[in-house]
Amino acid sequence: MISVLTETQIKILFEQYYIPLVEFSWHIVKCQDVALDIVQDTFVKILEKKEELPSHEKAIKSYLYSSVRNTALNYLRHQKVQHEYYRIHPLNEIDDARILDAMIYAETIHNLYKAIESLPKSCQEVCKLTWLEGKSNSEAAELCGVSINTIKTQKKRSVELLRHRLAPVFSALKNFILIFF
Amino acid sequence: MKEPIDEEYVKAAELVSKYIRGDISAAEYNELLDMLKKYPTLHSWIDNQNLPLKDISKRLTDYQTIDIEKDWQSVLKKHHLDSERKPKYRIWWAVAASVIAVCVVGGSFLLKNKEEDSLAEKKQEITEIVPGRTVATLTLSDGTTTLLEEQEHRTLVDGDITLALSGSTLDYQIAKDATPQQHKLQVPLGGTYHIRLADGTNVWLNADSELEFPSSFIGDERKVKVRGEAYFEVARDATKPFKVLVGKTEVEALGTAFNINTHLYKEEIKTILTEGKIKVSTPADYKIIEPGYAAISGKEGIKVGKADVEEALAWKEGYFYFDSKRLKEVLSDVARWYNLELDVTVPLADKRYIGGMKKSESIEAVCAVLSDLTSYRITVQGKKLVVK
Repeated sequence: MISVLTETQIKILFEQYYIPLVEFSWHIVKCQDVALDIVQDTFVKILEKKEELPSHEKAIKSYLYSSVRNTALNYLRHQKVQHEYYRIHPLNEIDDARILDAMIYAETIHNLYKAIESLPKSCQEVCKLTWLEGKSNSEAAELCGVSINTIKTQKKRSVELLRHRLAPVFSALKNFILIFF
Repeated sequence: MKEPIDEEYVKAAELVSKYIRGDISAAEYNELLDMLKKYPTLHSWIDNQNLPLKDISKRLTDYQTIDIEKDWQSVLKKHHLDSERKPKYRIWWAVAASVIAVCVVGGSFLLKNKEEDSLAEKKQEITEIVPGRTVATLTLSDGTTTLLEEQEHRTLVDGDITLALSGSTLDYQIAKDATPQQHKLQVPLGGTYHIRLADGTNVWLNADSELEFPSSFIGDERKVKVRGEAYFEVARDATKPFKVLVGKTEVEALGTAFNINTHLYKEEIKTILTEGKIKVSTPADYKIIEPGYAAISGKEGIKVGKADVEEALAWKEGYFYFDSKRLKEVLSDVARWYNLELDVTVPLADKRYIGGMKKSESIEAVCAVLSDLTSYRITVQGKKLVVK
């Protein structure tokens, strides 16, 4: 089915796919700010073009990834200042394999992001401090203004919740979490 | 590498991601093995799962600080800076029940038989069923008529009026100081036309419509007469109210944009206001309309209700759009645009439909989709739109 989307529908797509698309774009341009701009510009184009988008999920995803890739590649081509990275890895090396890698990262980050977002706020904070920023339990306790016991409890809850939602937790992170216990 | 990313690629990425997260089913794992054969570079993900955790952690933290709503507002801002002031209306190809998996890119539904039929038609008639195009007939003050078509460049003269015709618009602003003459613009079935009156008012006429107007406006009001369907963007002139006569209804505007449609069920006249304010009057009653509202004037007086602005503008922007329109009305719109006769052989249910499609689609595509949407058999036979 082909449809011409309304602004509201495009916004829904934006909310759903922004994070993975930014991650995807980052793997091409290697700069967070630029990656954000690229995805935003891609959506500006979608708004302008009144394009017909497929409504099947896989088709939409490939459409979005393609658009972001094209915007990113155009950006790189028009770069006046040669980014250090591209002196070593010239444009023509952005081949299919790298695009595939970028999509895998995008999917993975997206799932992780959703899993963390789904945790209660207190757990999110503790998770961030301890296993993402590598703070010790006592450091985290001080930062959050709570007792070490509270931190330990929150971490336990997080692991249980993540185990359930990201079930099973992806292997590398699983190891990470176990280290803290 | 400008070809679009294959859906297979997306599938492969999803599977690999599931695998490294440890969240993959047996069936999916088998699919993954197939993918590995197709895309051997994936092996590095499967064999060695050393992810750069520190980088991922840092980026995850960044993502958590992102305010998606705020970034969407940036997108909108950039969009509004880029685009013109012309409002853009999007139509949603909606489905009442089933999903229509129809991908039509002009011509894939060509019916060979139909072509043979039409070859037998007289040469003067249009032999293909084509969607409407820019065409109109202009009648001058002395009764002479002239055909106006797209991409024409010529001069029209009437009294001391000289009009330059170019492209698909007839512009009367140049004639505003000449002696006024009464002209009539007729748009046939299958046509559409855009005209700019002497005061700068823009009028778009849909298929099977007529506009009677003076070449310039003198006196204390600007008056025109319309039949069919027309969209007006009235130029501001506080000293001279702009009035449109439609049958027994009069629509008075003061710098506004609105759509008048007389092609309706039961011969009602529907006026949809998109900007400004208008006064709709019949001999018996009158109502003031605000934007986003419509007035339906008929034998029972004037009814005001909330309007679907998309409906007003869709045809002007090149779309058929129907929201809660009866099938009969939808079919009539289609028949008018493609210049076909409507042949309905079964009673039509009173069900209402929502949908939209580009007016430039082939009639076959339109029939296919309408058939799916309504579960009637709608086809084109010769010059008829047949409904079974």
